[in-house]
Amino acid sequence: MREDLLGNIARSFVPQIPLDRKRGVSSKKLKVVKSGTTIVALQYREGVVMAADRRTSWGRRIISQDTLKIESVATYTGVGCAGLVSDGQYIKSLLRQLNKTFYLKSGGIPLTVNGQANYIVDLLHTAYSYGFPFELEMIICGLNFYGEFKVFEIWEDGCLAEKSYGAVGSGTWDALYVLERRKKQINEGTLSEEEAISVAISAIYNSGEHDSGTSPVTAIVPALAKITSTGFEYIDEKTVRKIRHRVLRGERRND
Amino acid sequence: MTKILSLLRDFEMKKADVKRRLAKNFACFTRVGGVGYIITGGDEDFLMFQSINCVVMIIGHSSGEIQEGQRIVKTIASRFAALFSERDLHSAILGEYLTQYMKYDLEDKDNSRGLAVEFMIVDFLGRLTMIYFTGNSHSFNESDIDGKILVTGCYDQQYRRRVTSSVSKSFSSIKKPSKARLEKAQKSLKEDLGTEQISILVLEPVTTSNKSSAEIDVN
Repeated sequence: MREDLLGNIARSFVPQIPLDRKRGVSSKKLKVVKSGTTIVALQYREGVVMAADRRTSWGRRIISQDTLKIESVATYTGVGCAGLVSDGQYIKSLLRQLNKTFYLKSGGIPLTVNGQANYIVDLLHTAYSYGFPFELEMIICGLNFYGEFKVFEIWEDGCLAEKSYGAVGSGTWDALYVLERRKKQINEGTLSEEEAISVAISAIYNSGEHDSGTSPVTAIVPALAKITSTGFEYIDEKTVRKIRHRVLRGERRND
Repeated sequence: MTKILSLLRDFEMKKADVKRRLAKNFACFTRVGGVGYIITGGDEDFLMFQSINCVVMIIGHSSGEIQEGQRIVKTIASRFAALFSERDLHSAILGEYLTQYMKYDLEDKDNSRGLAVEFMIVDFLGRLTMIYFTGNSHSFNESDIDGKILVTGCYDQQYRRRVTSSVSKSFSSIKKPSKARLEKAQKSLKEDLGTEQISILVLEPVTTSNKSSAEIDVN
């Protein structure tokens, strides 16, 4: 009984999914639905920039063209989810609850981004192995209490990858094509904020050109946010429009 | 009614038994000239657990019980590291689980003897947390306790007075810790308290943001 106290450490933070009440089915029989989205994140000199298109679609139908796919779950953590909207919303609310509980329990010290990513990976992998996978891919990034910026990619089966840049959603490959051209600078952390925003917009632009699930940057201004030592902050539309204009001019010249 | 009274009597007896067993085992914290010292002593030597964020000193009546205390701390630390990350194990969180465990252990009516173990946790932010065998805990900011002496264990009141006066006498003259000075303090404590088991842990002021700089100078 006393050992149960130690066994239930996870439950004392956030409620666990009551998987034991359901009978699992083989995950091989399940087909994960992928919805169209592109979310990218990359590190730069002063922090991390996140960018996402704004289209929500259901099959071939466009539901919305002004969805905010990047959200803050704690002062220094941003999350972007691609996939089933409800799963994404559930995970984000769980992360918010987790962060608040941890903050209170630790006496004012926030949970690290690694801690949040590990927690989500554990949850996703459990759900996946029970045959009820969450239908989402996500990027979680932010600033750790110790002063390191982190970017993590997480897939629906609970796979975790730590990177200095990442992309999820149906437009991943087109976005990665752009990001990888600036790989060296991103890894070295030498990009300025403006350059990082340009690279992110460029990545979303390239995805929008080739992926029907991603809204075209030419028509719709993507959502951008940055996480710096002052916390999570959306980049105002005026700045994004200005940089988008420059990016589009450059892309047209290349064409 | 009789059953409740008998339970209460058992509980009080259990408490008294643990107090008796911890009568002459202690860990005390003092801060002189901006440097913190943890001094442990008693029948058994202490055990220490060190993680990225904090240092835990475990004192107890017997080596078996001290090891049990260390096992609890290690279990919490490993489960926590698996769920979140090693860097997320802070003194407040460790303290919360330890207080729960100790309280439950003492109130467990199927367990005839309580665990005679107490903990002293110091983290890299300079927070000192003391967990008692009852499940009670106290937290302090290291900087707020200049000149004071905080003690866990040592339930023999007369012995406690001897411990505090000896620690105060031995450490008041140490302005800067050095091996020779600490050895001298250790020797004088051994003579005053009549025990061979005196260890001193020096907590140097934190210089880097991500390390708890604790080291044992004298054992």
